[in-house]
Amino acid sequence: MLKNLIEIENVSFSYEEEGEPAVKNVSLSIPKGAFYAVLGQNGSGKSTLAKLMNGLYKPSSGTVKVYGMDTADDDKTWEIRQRAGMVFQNPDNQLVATVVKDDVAFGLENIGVPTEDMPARIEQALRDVGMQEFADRSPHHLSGGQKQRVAIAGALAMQSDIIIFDEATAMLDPRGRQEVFSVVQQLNRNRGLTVVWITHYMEEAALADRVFVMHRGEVVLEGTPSEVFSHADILKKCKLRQPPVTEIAENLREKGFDISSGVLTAEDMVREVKRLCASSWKK
Amino acid sequence: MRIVLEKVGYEYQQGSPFSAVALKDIDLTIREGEFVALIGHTGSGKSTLAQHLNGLIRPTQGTVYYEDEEGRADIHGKGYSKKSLRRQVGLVFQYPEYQLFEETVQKDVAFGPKNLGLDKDEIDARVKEAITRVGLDYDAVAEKSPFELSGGQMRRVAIAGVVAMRPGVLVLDEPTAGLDPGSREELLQMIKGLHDSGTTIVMISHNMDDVARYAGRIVVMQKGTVVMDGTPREIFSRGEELERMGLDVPQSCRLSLMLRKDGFPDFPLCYRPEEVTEALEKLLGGEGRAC
Repeated sequence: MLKNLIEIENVSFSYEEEGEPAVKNVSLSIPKGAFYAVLGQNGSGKSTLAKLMNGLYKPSSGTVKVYGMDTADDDKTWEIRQRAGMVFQNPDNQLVATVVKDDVAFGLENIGVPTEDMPARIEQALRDVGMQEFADRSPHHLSGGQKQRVAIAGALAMQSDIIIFDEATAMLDPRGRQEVFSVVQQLNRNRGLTVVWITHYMEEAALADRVFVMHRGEVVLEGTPSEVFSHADILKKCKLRQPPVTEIAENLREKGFDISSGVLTAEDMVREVKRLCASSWKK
Repeated sequence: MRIVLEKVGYEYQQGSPFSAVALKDIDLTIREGEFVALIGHTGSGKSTLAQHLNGLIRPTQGTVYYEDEEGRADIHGKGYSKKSLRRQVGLVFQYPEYQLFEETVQKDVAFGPKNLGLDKDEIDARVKEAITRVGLDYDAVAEKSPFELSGGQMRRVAIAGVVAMRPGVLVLDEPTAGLDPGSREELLQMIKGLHDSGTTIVMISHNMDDVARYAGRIVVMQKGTVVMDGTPREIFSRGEELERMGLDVPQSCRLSLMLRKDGFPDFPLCYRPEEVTEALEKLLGGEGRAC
C-alpha cells in the first residue's frame, strides 16, 4: 500500500539553464488523505513547486514521484496528470466549454473514457461540489466561486486522488472563498481527497494538517499550523504574518498571561479566555 | 473638491428586456481629504458606483456634481470638459496590470499625461514623480518592459499611470486583490502615503482588516444602495448586522463579538488587534477585571 502519493526528493528547478533556481533543494512527501498548505510571498517558488508536482515542469535535479511514477518519465505524463489534478488562480482562464457539463467532460474525452460512462461520472463530480443544478448552464454566467467548483469537478471526474490548488481562492470575494474552501475541506474529510493548498491566506493555512513556508525557492518552515505560526520572526522575514489572533495571544503571553501556545482562530482565543477566567474563579 | 452624488441611480441596458438595476437613490458626498472604504458583496454595486465618480458611467437617474468654493458643476452637463474630469478623479480598475501595454514602464506611465497634451519636460517630470511615489526606483525600472516585473510591481506601474495625471481624488477598485501579504502591506502603505500628501482616497476592498486599519470612513453597499455610512468604529459596532449581510468583519471585531456572545457581554467592540489586547488585559487581570 502506497503511503505517500507524492514524493519530492532534493528537487531544484531553474527556468533558464544558468539562472537562479526558482525551487532549491526541496524534499517533501504528501501522504494519502492529507490536507497540506503551502505559504510564501509572490516569487517564493510555490507555483513552480505546484507545477513540479504533476509533471507540468520536470525537475532540473532531484526526483518527483507521483504514485511512484517519476515525472521525468514522458510515458507516464498523462497518467500522472490524471492522478494529480490542478486548479489555478484565475477562474476565467480554465473553463473551456459553453456548457458546464461539457467542461467537466473535457478531460474525460482526452483520456479516452467511453462516452456511455461519461454522464454518470460528470453528474457525480458536479454533485460532489454542489453544482449539479448548473450542469446545463453556461459557465460564463457563474460567480467566481462557482467557476472554481466546476474546475474542481473537472478534476474529480478524472478520478484524480490528489488536487493541487494554486491560489484557487486569491481572485474570489470572501463569500466565494469560503464556498470553495469548504467544498475542498469536505472532499478531503468525506472522500479522502488529498489536497495541496497553496495560498496567501493565513487563516486558510491555519486549518490545514501541515504547513510549508517557502522563501526564495526553499522550504524554510514546516510543521503543524501552530508550530509554523509560532515563528513570528521567520514569517516576517518571508513577508508573511501570523493570523491577527495569534499575534494578540502572543502579546498577552509576553505580558505574563498564561495563554497556551497554538492559538490560531477566534474560537481558540475564546476558549483560552474562558479557561483563564475559570481558573481564576477557583483561586 | 467634493464629489456629490444626488439621487443617483443606474440601470444596465435600460429599456431592454435585460435591464437590471445596479444602483438606486444614492446620496453620497466624498469630501476633500477623506479616506473612504467602499465595502459590500460582489454585485452590490460598488464598482458601478466607483465608475460614476469620474464620469465613466453616466447615471440613468440623478446627478453627479464636482463642487468647490466656487460652486458646483454637473459633470455630465453641457460644457463640462471630460478631459478635466479624468484629470480630477483618477480611477484604478481591478487587476490594472492587465491594461499595461507599452514597451517600457516610462512610456506606459507617460501615456495619460501625453493625452493631456502636456509638453515633454512636464511629462517626464510627472512620470518620474509618479513612479517614485508608488515606491519604485525610477532608474531601475523606467526602461524595463512592464512585463518583466513581478505582479506587485506591475500593479504599481499601472497605478503610477493614474497618479501621473495628478488627480485630487484617487478611486481604487480592490487594489490589493490577489497580492501576497507583503506586497499588500506595501501597496496599502503607498496608498496611505498618497493620502497623507493630500489625495482623497476611495478604496473598494473585501479585506476588512485593511479597511479597519486605513480608512477614516466606511460606506457599506447592498443591492445597489448605501446601507451604512460612518467611521470604522460606528460601522464595526454593527458587526452582527455585517455578519448577517454575509460580510466579513475584522478578526479582532469577530473575536470581540464572540466574547460578548459567550459569557462576556460587556467586552468592548474592538476592531484593531491592539485594542483587543488591551481589553483582554483588563478582562484577565489588572483593574476592573471581570473575571
